[in-house]
Amino acid sequence: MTPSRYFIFCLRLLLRQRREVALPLFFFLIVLSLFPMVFPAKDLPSLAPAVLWITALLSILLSLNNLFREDVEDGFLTQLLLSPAPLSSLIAMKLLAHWIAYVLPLFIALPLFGLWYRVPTENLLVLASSLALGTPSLLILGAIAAALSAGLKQGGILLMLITLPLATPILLFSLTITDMAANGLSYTAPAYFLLAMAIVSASLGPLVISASLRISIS
Amino acid sequence: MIKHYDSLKIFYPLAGRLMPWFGWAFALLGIFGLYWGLFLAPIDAVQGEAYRIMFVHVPSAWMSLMIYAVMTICAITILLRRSKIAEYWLLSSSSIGASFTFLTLVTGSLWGRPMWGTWWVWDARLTSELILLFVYLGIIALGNAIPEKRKAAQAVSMLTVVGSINLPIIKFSVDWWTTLHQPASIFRAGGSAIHPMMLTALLLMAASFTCYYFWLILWRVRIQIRENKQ
Repeated sequence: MTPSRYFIFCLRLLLRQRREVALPLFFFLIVLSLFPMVFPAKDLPSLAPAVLWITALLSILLSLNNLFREDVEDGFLTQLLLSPAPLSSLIAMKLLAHWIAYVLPLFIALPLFGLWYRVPTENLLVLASSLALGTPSLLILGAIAAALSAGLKQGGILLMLITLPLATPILLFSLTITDMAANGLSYTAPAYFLLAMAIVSASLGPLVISASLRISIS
Repeated sequence: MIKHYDSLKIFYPLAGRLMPWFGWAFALLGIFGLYWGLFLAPIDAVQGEAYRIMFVHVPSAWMSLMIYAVMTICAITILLRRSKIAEYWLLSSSSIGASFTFLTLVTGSLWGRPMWGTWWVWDARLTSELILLFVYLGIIALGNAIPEKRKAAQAVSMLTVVGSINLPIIKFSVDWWTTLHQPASIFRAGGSAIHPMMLTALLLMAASFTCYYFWLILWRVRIQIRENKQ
């Protein structure tokens, strides 16, 4: 299977599993709705970036739970190993499809989030750009953990435990962006940091993930 | 040369011969270091007697990082070539590293109580040390979840290497974030030169802790070699 064909295959598969794909988005919206219930309305705009990021972090990690599990269990991964294309290129395509299916909807939910938390549109744009810069490395980091815990019983909780501490820089850099923007400062420095992390993880990540998968199915 | 010592047949008796040396060095250096730190070192001008917990706190903080560095070396070895000893060493190190990190946090919090007036501050060092503890716990959890030793060691080495790339970034991001939000902590870099008596006690304790780590790890690796034989 060529990488481009595998990409289409992954997208079609995710499109058929529409109901399952919608669950992390559903989770995202429910958790977002909890904070306005428990915090006074005046605190919401200052809490908004942190709440959005932590909720996005959790729902993305939740979506990664089944990223490789089925492929490992039903032997599809072994099939992929036999294909002439390198496994890492196929993994990259799978992650791209996963990002489109699970992370892109979070952007579509942003206007609703802005409405709930009274975030003005220009701040919403800053938040959207921090998400766009931070989520690729987050997804790849989580995918490494998903690959390492693919065949295990407690895979879901392990995935969280492994990824959350390692994901703190992404969270902090993203919140530095919104913080600096809120204070009228230029936020190019943290943005470049996130971009650099995204580039490094996108280039090395698929290799690490394929090596981890080989360990998991060995 | 390394290949020679990598064989279990040579490593097992060698470790057995080295263990008492490390054990005694740990005990003697520890007694000297504690005596030096608790009785000989002068009282601190600002912090009074309470600063003496530093002689446990600072060496444990060093150990928490050194053990991670040793684990990274083991992990790279495992990923590049087969090595039973590196596997045992890596898997046994993570819980010792986590213990030292925990000890650092506890002693730091005991120190913080009289100095800052609170047990816990979200200061850059405390936060990154806490994240290091979570990284260690993640490594332990992954290692325990995989029943086959070899596979566990390989998965853990992958995670350790990813973590070793990530740890400096964590440190940097936490520093940056906390400087944005809080005034600098009371420890300033290069603020005051340390008294030579204090430094001596500190180095003795650090040497003692390092010997303790090697004593314990050789012990554990030997146990694992024996377990594997049966």
